[in-house]
Amino acid sequence: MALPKRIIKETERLVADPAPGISAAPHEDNLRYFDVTIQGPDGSPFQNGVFKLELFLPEEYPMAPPKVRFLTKIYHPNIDKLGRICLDILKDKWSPALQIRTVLLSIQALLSSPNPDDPLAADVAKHYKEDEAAARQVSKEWTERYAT
Amino acid sequence: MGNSASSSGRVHHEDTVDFGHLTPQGVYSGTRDWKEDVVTQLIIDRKLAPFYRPLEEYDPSWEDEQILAARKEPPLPAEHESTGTRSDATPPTAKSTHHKRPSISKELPRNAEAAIYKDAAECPICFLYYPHNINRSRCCDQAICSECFVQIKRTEPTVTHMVSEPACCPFCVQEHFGIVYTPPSWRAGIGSEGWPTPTWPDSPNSQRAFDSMRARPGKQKRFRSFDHTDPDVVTVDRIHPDWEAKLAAVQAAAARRANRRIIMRQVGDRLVPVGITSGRIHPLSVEATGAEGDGGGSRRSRRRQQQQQDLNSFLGNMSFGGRDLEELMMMEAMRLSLLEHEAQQQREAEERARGGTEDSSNSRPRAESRNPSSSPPNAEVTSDTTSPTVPSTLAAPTFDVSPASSSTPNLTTVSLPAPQHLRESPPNGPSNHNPVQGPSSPYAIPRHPPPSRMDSFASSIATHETSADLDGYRFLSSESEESIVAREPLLHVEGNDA
Repeated sequence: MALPKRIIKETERLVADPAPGISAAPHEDNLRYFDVTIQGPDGSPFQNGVFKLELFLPEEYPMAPPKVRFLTKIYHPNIDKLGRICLDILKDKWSPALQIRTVLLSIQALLSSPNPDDPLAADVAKHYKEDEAAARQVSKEWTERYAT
Repeated sequence: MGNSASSSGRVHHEDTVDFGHLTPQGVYSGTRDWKEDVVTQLIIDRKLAPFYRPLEEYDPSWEDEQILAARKEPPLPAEHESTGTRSDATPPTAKSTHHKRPSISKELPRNAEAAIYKDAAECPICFLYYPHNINRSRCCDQAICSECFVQIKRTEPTVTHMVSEPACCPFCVQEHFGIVYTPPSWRAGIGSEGWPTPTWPDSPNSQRAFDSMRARPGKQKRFRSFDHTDPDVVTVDRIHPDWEAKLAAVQAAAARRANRRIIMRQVGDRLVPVGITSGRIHPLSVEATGAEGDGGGSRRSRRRQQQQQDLNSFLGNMSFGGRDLEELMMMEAMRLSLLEHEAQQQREAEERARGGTEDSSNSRPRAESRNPSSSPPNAEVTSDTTSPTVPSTLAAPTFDVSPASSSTPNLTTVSLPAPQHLRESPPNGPSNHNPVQGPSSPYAIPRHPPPSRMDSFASSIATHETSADLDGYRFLSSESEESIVAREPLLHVEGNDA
């Protein structure tokens, strides 16, 4: 099946008008597979970090959400060791009116506001709840070590 | 893309509505799981925009030929044979080749087909362009083409998430998503008899046609939201009326699974699991088991019935909390151990049966010391508590039975709501060996097994409760991402049920 027009147009618009701090480029051999980078938001422990992610648009897209995963190690309560992201719009709250751009902006926002009450990485979440300052420090160290 | 527009683009008005089609034009390739006859009727009734061939691009300055050339290729008949299962899914292009050319078409110049796209609207979901009077969401007045609209449906219920919530608006997330459609002031094709036919001036890019495609007077500009019960609204449920049947089917499947029982055979002084009953048979009658129920499984199934049929009578005085989940995980671990080691268990049990006196002399004192007085109030309670024997039985899944129980029947059942979401492999194996099918069998279970045996069950469990929890979780967390995700709805369901 040919690539749906929506994916072509989304790709064009992403390239022509990228969201601040976010880049997404499709693989040449698979236009449903994107290499993504997200800059850590200012004021967060991820500031100055550049995080690599992969994004895949399944056959059912946009009726099903894209699959997104961090490739860069990150110390965040809603992102686990494998880079999987706990974000409702990537699961049951997906809407076909959302796009690659909005998904990536949501992930960037998640970096600014970790939610340890709905954790994916239980140990990180515990750390964040018990001693947020120390946990943020670890996040910062990981950012400096892995996300540059 | 548009090079065949002139050959295939001619619209035959016998099977079109206002120059649009009754069947999708190939934006999506999946199966058509909406009710096609309902959709067809809604299009004919002008309650839903017909399936127009979308434009892949649009520029207001385009000439008619450019517009026609920008239309998406119509779907190939072969595509539908492979994807569609319904016979009435014949694509309009295929149909039209069999029809004689309708006389009306010569009255409608070709530019009419282009004129409908004047001021085309982009569907924010498929990013394609449609005639201006596209469907609008009932709640927030967003454009959505019919092709995308028919794709939207309730999330399919699963065994782990046995609810069916109304589909939400993709734009404003309001429940009971529905659309309203304002047809043009003229009619063409099906149902156009007695209506003014559009008068298309000869010149291309006709301003008049463009205007007549606009909403009817009185309806434009000022938006009001519609209730989902408004007769002008077409809801997702209206074109997917099968959601209730789907939900019922999942509930029935889960109930069958939950009704399964492990069949235990007493070998010497031990109880050895030898099979699993069919879920279709209700193992114990409600009267016999009383209000506390005959095990987690059938309680769950009854709860489902209650949701569906409002049978509150059995359940009024029950309160179940997170215990169900715990029970469920332990029983699943137990079931797995049965699958893996069944043959081995059988041999082992028989061996032990031969030297059984030693075992029982070891186990009995412990049992008695832990539960000095107890004879469980009724068999069902103990039947429940026996289920968490998992950890102690994983390695050698046999059960201590004190000699006092020698006079009891040979078989007992333990409820087993084998949940699909905890594992990948389908249930199999033991059911084939099943020697007993429910309570009617002469070997079937005592409804009130003697307390002594239950004592020893309970004692063997109690010491391992904590590790049972851990085992259950460890089992889950080693699963794939999907399984972990599935755990959330499970918890949710349990919470709701209780």
